[in-house]
Order: sequence, then structure tokens, then C-alpha cells
Amino acid sequence: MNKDKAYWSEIIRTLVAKEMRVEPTTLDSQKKFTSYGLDSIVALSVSGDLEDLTQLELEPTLLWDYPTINALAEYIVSQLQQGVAS
Amino acid sequence: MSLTSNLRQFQSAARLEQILGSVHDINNDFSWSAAIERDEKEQYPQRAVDFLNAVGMNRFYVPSELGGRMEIGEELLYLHRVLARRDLTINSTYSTNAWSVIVWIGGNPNQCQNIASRILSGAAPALAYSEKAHGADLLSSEVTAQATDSKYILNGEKWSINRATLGDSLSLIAKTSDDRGPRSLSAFWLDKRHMVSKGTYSLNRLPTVGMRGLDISGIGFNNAEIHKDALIGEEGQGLELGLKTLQVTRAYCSSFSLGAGDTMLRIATEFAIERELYNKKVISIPLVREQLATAYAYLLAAEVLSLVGARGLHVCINQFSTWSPIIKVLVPEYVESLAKITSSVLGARFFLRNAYADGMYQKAFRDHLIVSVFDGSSTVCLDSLSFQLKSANKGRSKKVDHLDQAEAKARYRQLYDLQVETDAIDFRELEIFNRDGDLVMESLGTIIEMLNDADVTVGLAAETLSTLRERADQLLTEQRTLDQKIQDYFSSSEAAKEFETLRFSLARDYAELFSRIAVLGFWIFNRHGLRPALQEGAWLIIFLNAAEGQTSPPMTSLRESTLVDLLDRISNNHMLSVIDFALAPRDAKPVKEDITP
Repeated sequence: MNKDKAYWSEIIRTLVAKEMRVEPTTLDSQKKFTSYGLDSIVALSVSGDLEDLTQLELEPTLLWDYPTINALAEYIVSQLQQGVAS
Repeated sequence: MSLTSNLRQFQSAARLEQILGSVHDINNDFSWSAAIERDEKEQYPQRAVDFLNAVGMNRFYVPSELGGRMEIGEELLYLHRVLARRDLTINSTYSTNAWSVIVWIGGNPNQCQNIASRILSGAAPALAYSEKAHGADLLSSEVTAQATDSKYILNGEKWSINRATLGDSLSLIAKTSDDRGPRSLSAFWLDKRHMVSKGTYSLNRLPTVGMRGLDISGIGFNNAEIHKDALIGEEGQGLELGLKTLQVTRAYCSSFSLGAGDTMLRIATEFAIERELYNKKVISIPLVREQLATAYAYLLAAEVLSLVGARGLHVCINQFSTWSPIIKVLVPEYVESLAKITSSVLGARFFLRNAYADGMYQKAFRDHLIVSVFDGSSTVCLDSLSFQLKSANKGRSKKVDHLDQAEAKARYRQLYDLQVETDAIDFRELEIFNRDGDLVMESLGTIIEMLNDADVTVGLAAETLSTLRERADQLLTEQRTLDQKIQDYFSSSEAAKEFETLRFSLARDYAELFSRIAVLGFWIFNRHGLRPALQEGAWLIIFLNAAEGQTSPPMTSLRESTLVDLLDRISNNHMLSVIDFALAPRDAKPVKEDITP
């Protein structure tokens, strides 16, 4: 499967929904995680899960800096592409 | 070599203790009667603060590369413990110097140099995070810092702030963006004397139940202008820097509990020795002996957990986001247990404000009530710990597979063994979230091996050793069960109603397990340096029983050997500590000499 932005968006949606214990479909890709009440400390744990899945080194504060599913998926894709290019 | 205050990390505190003179000298600002007098008058301890600056205590908050003496984690802990046993008000007032850690973590070289100079010349900083409407909910902060080309303009009010009015500088968190996200906050170090325009006002001083001499007040900003270089780190880093700073200061809150615990237990024990009831001394009543031995075991465990924490700052500071909440929750709780026991030994006198020991017991009791709320309440700490359990456990299990046993044991020794020197603390290695693992939890296997290898010797009875081996095996079973529960909890995405309660209970179980392993680890690695009464481990079994909620009384032999050590500490005027640490003689006057001549 081509691991594009749509792929990573779904992964992120699932991870965040699991942390928040809500249905993944309730999360909008454009809306900020904080608008759903995602705790700033909980947000830090998602980064570790993404690190395992992407094999990238990711800052714990990743979700603070890329605060929507869209923004985060774009960042992951760009980092993975950079990894391939280098 | 035995564990005494001659060890490098305790020498400064031992000297400070002698410099401050006797707690029984009514003319001494650091005596119990002076503490009570200030408390009754709600008087700020300015003379004591000036004295501490004059003898150079402020140097211990500034890293050595910036001209200070902040080198060893245990050193500052014990300097504060010496203050806290005398007066928690002095300790609380002076401890605000530790808020400068935010600068050592996130400041640029210029800021580090400038603020180091200010601390070294006797600054009086305050921590301005909380607001009346929002308490610990920092993201709801309403104080704003609006950037212009050359300055920031502050508006809003910070409330319930220690030294807000009498202090001369502030470590401030304010909003620099309208967003409510974690990047909306920024950190500032604000020197009240060097603002672009005044625009500040003081809020009323707030009367308190304990530590009545504190300047607990607030500060308001009305278009107050500050220089642009007051910003620490970058805009949006306020929450991150603030949380990292709290990791360090939470660990140092232990000094309040250790000092208050020493004073409460000392007074209650002296009372039991002197007091006669039913034609016999109270100390001869078996129940009282059991109570005092248990209280002492709690205090020693609180001390050991604090010591392991202070050494952790050197050895595994990147794990401190889970360690500091554990220490911050449990150390005050152990001393609260001690307070409950000792107040019952004192009977009505614990409640009377001047009937015994200058009224110092009731002051220490009242003062200590707030410690579990300082720097993030127990609930806030357990909340923060709970979210990191999965990640910390994952970090630990990743390491287990390729652990070099000899290297690992050397690292545990560095953590636990007080006679092993540690590398310098690097505050910039603090992490906001623990992904690395947990050195204490990881060390349990080695602790069990060491217990199995230990021989029955003079000072370590076969029965005690066998009990400790059993307890260590139980801890391993508990650890495996808890690891599984944590994994199950985080694997499930069910929105169960009770999930939040369960999350807190997992955090508490983790914290309590960590603490019992840490105390056992400390004992096995330091056993030969402990004085004989502590070497034999009776206090350890009493603590483990009490911490596990076992209601059956300790065996007479365990109780007696622990109590004898307590009585010996008191009659020899020593700190109630695992370290041999002499207190200032009863007739000693304070002397204004440098702590580090």
C-alpha cells in the first residue's frame, strides 16, 4: 500500500481517537486536537506511537506543533520522503 | 566507609546546621520559639532571608559554570532540610530561588549570566503561574504578553503567589497567542526593578492556615511594559519550560516533609520519654513504642525516596517527568502518616498552640498540610504520571532485551550508592515525556540477585534476610501484574465510564511499587555503610508492612531495634536520618560565617 498522506491521516485519526476514547469518525482532519479537548500531556504520548510506526525520530511535542490530523500527516509524509531522498 | 555528613554531598548542610545555631535559643531567628513568634504575628522572615544570603546559601541555586555551587542534587535537598526542621516558612520563602532553574533550562547565555548574577547578589524571585480563576489549568491563563517591536505589554493578574509583593523578580507564564493550545504560552523572567514602564500593582496578602508569615499575595499588570529580552526560550515554549522546571522543584519539595517530619517525630518522642501516665513513662507502653517505630520507618523511607530522586537528577534526568510526580506524591504522604501517628502520641498537646516545645509541633503539623499541594497537587501529579505509564514501560521493555548486566548494575550503583560520585546535572537533558524507561523499576531484578547473594552476617539475621527475599519476589510479581494491567488499559479503546478512575489507580500502584523498590534498592546497595541498627533491615520491613497496609503489629524485635535507633538519634542530638548527621548543640549560637569557607 502506498503510504501517502491519506494513509497517515487514518493512522493518526485512529491513534488520537484511541487516546481520547472516542470513535475515529468523530474527528475532523482540519480541526485542532485541542478543540476536541485533547489534553496537552496526552498529545505527547501519540508522538511515541508514531515514532514506532514511522521509525522516524519525533519530538514528544509533535502534536503541539502540528495540531491537526492534516498538518501532522503532511509533516510525517515530508519527513519520510526526506528520509528516502537522503 | 559509613554514611555520615562527612560525605561530600552533605558537608554544606552539616555546616549550615551548625551556623544556624540551636533551635532552643530564644534569641535566635532560626529557633523554634522565633518561628512561632513570627507565625503568630504573621511576620515575613526577612532577617532570616538576609542571614542566608550573607552565609552564601544563594550560591547553591546557581550552576558552577555560572559562578555558583549548584553541583550535587542531594546537597540542595539537605540544605533545605536543615531550614525546614526549624521553620517551613523560612524554607518556603527561600526556596523560591529554585525557580531560576527555568533559566538554566531554557535561557540564552546572556540571560543565564545575568540571572545568575542576580541570584548571587540576593534576588527574591517568585513563581507567577497560577491565576485565581484557573489554578493549575495553565492553558486557561488569562494574563497576556503582547509583543511589539521592542517590548512586551503585560495585562491581567497572577494570584496566590509566594513572594509576589516582597519579591523583586518573577518567573512568569503568560499568553502570547489567542489560541488555547499548548503553544499559546511563553515564559518570562521579569525583574521588577528594570521594567520599561511600571504598570504593576500588588494584590492583597492572603491569610493562610500554616506558614502564616509567608507573603502569599498576587501581582496585577496594567499595560506593564517589559524588555523583549525577558522572554526565556522562544515564544510558545512556556508550557514546556514550565513543566520541565516543575519536574526539578517538585523533587525538592521533599525537604519540607523531611524537615517537618523530623521536628514532629522528635517532639512526640521527647514527650513520650518525659511524660508519665499510669505510674510509668509513656515510652514504656508497647503500643506507643510500636507507633513511634512505625513513624520513624516512614520518615526514613521518605528520606530514602528523596535521596534516590535527588541522585536521579544526575543519573537519569530524562526520566524525571515520571519520577518527580512519584516523589512529590509519596514523600508528603509518608510524613502525613507520621503526623497522624505522632499527633495521637501527643494527645491534646498536639492541638494546643503553646503547651509543649514552644508550640512547635502544631506549627509543623499545620505548615506541612499544604506540601502535598505545592508545585502541582497529588491529583495533578498522578494525572501527569498516568499518561506516561505506557511510554515509560515501553522504554523499559525495549532496553531489557539488550541490557549488559555489568553495565546496568554499575548504573544502579550510581543511582543508589551514596558513596559513588555522580556526573554533573544537565538540566537541558530534561524531557517533557518519559520514553526512556525507569531505572528504579528496571533495577528490581538486580536487587533480587543481590539479596539472594547476601550472606547472613552479624547485623543481618537469617529471618530478616529471608523476609526481605520474599518481599522482593512479591514486588516482582506485582510488577509483572501491573505491567500487564497498564498494557491492557492502554490497548483498550473502550470509553468505559470508570476509565479515568482506573487510570489514577494504575498511577498510584506504579508510584507505590516504585517507592518500595527504591527503598529496598537503597538498602541493599548501602547496607554496609549504614549504622548497625539500620543495616539489619528491621525499619525496612516495618515500612514495607505499613506501606502495604498490613495492620498486624511488627514483631517485637523489629520494633525494638528500630525504636532504639530513634531514641539514640534523639539522645545524641542527631538528625532523624539514614545519615549520621549531628545537629547544632542546644547552647549553640548562630554564627554568620560562609557555608563554604
